[in-house]
Amino acid sequence: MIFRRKRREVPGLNTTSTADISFMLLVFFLVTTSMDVDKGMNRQLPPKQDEKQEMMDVDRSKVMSLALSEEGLLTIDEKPANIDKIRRQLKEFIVVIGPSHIIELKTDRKCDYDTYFHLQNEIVRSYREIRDAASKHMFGKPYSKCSVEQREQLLEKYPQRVQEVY
Amino acid sequence: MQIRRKKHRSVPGLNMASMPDLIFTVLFFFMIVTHMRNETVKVKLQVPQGTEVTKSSNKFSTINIYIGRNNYGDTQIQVNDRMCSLEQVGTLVRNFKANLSEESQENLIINLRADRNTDMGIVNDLKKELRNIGALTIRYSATEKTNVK
Repeated sequence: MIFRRKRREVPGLNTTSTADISFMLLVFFLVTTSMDVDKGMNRQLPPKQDEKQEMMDVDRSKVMSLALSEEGLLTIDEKPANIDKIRRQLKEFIVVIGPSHIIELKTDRKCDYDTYFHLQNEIVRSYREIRDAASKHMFGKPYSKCSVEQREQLLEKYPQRVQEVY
Repeated sequence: MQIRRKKHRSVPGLNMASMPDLIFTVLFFFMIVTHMRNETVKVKLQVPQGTEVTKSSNKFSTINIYIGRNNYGDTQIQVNDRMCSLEQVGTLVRNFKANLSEESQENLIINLRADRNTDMGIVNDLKKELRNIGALTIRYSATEKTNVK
């Protein structure tokens, strides 16, 4: 009792679990934030008045008519086709007919949005691949690396002419 | 020298005192990087996938239109944070558009987030309404599909 050699020290706070607490905070935050789906495909709708005029002067030989049925089956000019394989046909059509081509798209009211989006995706992809090939041929670099004037040239040569019929 | 070998020298372990600091740094990184969405989506939806999706550029102001299933299983349209029917979409979008600044009104994009199984009838009607009120730039939201072929 008298020889109090060892003085009792109050033990400090055990901080080994602060790492665990911060993990919990991080996981809580990751779980509760709703991450925004930022990606998508930009499209331009035609203005309202032009529809009546456009139906008049249309050369049917330069029109490729795509139709989606209720079950999501694609027909090109009344002939059945497979959405995954139409890219080659589309590209041929666009390149052969040139800037006066028209791709007409008609969708049945009961067709599902996923099929329609898939088709739009293939159309956009065809245009992109054509423009990439042309830009490599003319300027030696892909479309995305071209300057504004070069892009304008390519857009003039291969414009996107898709018409949706409701 | 021989007797002193009782105390075995051990290599000191890694000092974990700064581990919480690292975690907080990661947490702050996430807080800065995520784009917080200021409206809750009240309909259930899953957007389609595509290969041609691009990131949205920030100079556009957006109005979000969600089309999905509500709790009763019917298709429901939600514009920004208000639920509405098809007929009301035109007026709602016009109102939202009018509340934006002049500059934002020129650079307006309508972000269309529709569920995969939505009937095209509703989507086409919606597009007709948008054409009527002059909101011509639309964007189909989708996730990216990695190329399998």
